[in-house]
Amino acid sequence: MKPLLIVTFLCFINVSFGDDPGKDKIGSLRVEMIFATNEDGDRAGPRGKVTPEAQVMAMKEIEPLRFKYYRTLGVENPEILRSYESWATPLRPSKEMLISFEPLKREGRGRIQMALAYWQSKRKLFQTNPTLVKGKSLYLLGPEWRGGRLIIQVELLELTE
Amino acid sequence: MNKEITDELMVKWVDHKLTATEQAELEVILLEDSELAGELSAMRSVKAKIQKEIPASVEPPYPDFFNNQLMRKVMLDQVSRLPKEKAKRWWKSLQWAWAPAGAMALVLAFLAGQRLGQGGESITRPVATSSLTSVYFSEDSLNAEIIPDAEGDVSAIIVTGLSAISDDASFAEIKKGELPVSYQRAEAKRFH
Repeated sequence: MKPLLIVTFLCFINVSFGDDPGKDKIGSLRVEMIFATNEDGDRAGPRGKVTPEAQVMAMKEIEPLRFKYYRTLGVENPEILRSYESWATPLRPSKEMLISFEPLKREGRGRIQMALAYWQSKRKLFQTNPTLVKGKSLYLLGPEWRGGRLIIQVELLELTE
Repeated sequence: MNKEITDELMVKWVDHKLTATEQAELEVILLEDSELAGELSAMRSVKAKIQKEIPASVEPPYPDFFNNQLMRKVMLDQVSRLPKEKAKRWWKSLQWAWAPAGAMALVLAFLAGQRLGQGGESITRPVATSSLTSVYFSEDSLNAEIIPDAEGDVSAIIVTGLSAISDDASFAEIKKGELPVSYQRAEAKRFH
């Protein structure tokens, strides 16, 4: 009798979660980890790929993000769920640096305000609430590493109407 | 004396809520019963210790983040209302002086036209969206500068004070115990 009850309970949980509209995908982000340095780009190691010129030009327009060399360390395109916190792990498989995000409110077509938090070594170090705009990038200038800085580029890729 | 009444008086004495009559009543009881006096003093000392250990109020998590948000929204709301009220006052004060106001408007329009002709770089743009963005830090040593783009959207957050990542870190593998608890919880919810 007991196992039957447990199975029924688990089925109920599964059904109720399956119908949870909070888990609906409402869009996606592109989260990229970039190594920027004035010394030697190759210090990024084998996983560092030369960052496309268009991205480099965009970063060089922002004075504190101006460096000589840029290397892309990893990219991830996580989904945005309607009312759940989601995570981006651009340095997969490592989870040393993470970004968590959750929608706060839509601010018109292609615009959404997000609660965005930066995690390093299991600790949440800061959180912010920017409005992400489709087609525009938000850069977070992160910690120092190997004689350069790590930059996290967050871009709203898609947002349902 | 009735024990219930004595207990009630003792509780009130500890809480400093005795009336003058009750105070006199208790003093008589204490003179008669020295053991009771000791008990009372012990009760007060326990209360003092508890008060010392437990704070009177507990701050909610991230209070300054939420307060900051609230204050910014209130400020923006006030600012957005200000021009209308100012305009009303202006209108009233200038009713008697149409001609000078008109002349001033013409001069201002001329000057504005000249500046536009020079490239218009000094025209300030609204930064409403970025002014609503704030950053909350878990450590006092951290700081940030928010950089808006030409449309006022946040384009960069420059964080200073973060501890450097070890040069030995190659991010090639997942370290044991590397995951925050909330990450594990969120992933579990996602897949069940």
